[in-house]
Amino acid sequence: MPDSGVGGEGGPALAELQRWLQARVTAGVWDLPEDPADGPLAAEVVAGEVVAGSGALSPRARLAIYAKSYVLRLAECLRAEFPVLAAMIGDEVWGLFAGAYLGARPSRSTTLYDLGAGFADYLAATRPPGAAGPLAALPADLARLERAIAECGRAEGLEGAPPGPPLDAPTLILQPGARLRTPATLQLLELGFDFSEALAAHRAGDHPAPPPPRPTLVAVARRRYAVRAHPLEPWAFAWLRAVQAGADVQGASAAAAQASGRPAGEVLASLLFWLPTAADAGFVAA
Amino acid sequence: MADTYRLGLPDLGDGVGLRDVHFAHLLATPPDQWGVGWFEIISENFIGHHGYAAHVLEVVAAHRPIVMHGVSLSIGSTDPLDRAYLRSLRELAARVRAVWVSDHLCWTGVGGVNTHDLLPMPLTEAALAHVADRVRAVQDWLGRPLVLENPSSYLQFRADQMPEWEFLARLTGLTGCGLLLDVNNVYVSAVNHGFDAAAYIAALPPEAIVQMHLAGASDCGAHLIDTHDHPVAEPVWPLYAQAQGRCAGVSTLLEWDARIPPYEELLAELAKARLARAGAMPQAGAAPAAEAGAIPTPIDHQLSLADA
Repeated sequence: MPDSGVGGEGGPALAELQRWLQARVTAGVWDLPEDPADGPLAAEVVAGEVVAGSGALSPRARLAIYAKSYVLRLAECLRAEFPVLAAMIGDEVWGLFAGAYLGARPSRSTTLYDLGAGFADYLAATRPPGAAGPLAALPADLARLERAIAECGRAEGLEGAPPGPPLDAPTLILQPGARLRTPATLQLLELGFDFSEALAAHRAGDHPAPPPPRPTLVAVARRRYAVRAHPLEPWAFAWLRAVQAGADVQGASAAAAQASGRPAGEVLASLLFWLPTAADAGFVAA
Repeated sequence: MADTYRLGLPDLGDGVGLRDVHFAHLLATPPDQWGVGWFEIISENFIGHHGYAAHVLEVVAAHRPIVMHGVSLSIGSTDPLDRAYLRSLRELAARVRAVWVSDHLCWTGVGGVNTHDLLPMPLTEAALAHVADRVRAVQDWLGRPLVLENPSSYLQFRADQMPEWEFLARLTGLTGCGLLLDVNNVYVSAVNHGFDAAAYIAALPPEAIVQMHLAGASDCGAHLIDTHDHPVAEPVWPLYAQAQGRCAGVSTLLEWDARIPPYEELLAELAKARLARAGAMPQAGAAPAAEAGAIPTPIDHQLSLADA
């Protein structure tokens, strides 16, 4: 390649050079494939024709600094968002998961908060067909929970709202059309495992053990900027889901009764005692 | 002096980056004991954030000036400027009353991809014209001068037609943008590419320098990397004193983004800047050997997942 300026006469366009360098940096494992699909430059040049070498570092070694740090940086960012999963499955398996995901779904966002958005779905979609054991669904489930925790931490919560009076549960339940709202921080998840002990172990600095399979309904919510995952009974989960979808209190109660198979009166009675707790946990607000 | 230097922007004194690990300390400490004149935030950590980090920022911004430092503007990319991102920057700047907004002379990706790295620009006439056009567009969008940092770099292009200092100096002349002189990055790049760091600093237009960065680097044997995980290396301090002497007082920010020490230790390191400005070189060591897995632009630089 000539030594003329990028974009100048005889030189590669800046866009072409950037595509070439990005392909080298994001290759994952350092290699210099001469793949024409990477752009015209890739098939024609080697690193030394684009990158200047000097001192103790060859052009390839200089490119490798960027390639290595690209992989390490994004893998660490992903680990920061999914710390319990990473700890539970160990470094080797975690490295496989993270590397495969980052290779398949390079970041297209200005923020690293979006990096893990598709991780749970990716794990679920790429589960090997033969992996039918009871724990096969665990990584995707735990990733879904940890992603919900991360999203809950950033969403607009109730902390900035002016303090109001405590929820008047009897009035809310008895008054037709009474409504409550769920904050953007609330996330409702249907999981195949109860990760409560794993989360607690990790928070305490202990190794999180894989839990046995057990269908679990979870609300991830934030109160005073602290995010917690709360296992819920089926009626409460169905009630919150209905409120989140826009139902009023009585309508949500009817939906909860139907979904849980409990008598409507029993759900209303449970709601009477549970609403203050739900408000205190950050599930609902007036 | 204040009107002609620093683009008329103030000298905020000495500051540190606002990082998760210090949130609890700052909230528990009276602001008059924070020990810094200002804080720098990583813009992307707070864009669209309504949780604990945003709460801490609101508290801090009520008591100290805030400067926004971004890592995703990608001013040198050939992709179109991201208008949604620029809108978010402008909104955040208004929310925190940012004294100025900075990013890096680099590109982070093309084809819609973001590598989240500060990739080097070819230093050519064509690239200079390209970046200048985009700086003007960003400045029009933000309604304020953009301040650009010299990144540490690990490669140069055969196509380069000028040194980085000339590229930056000419960019300020073409656009009126400011410079964030990262003295550690000058040192790192000087070692990696074999140029004279003092000559680099001497060639920059002092009136355009709005802010300086100090940070620690790591030694990989054949090269240095900008790890922000150690105290400032000894060779950086005379360069910093030289730069400050040319500018007659510019805001200084200590970056520490991995293996972040307790707040008091951070302040002790920052206090060395005052010594250096007074002409007494602080006690410091060489850049230490890189830890396993050490990377440039480490994770704590960009991610804020803390809760209360």
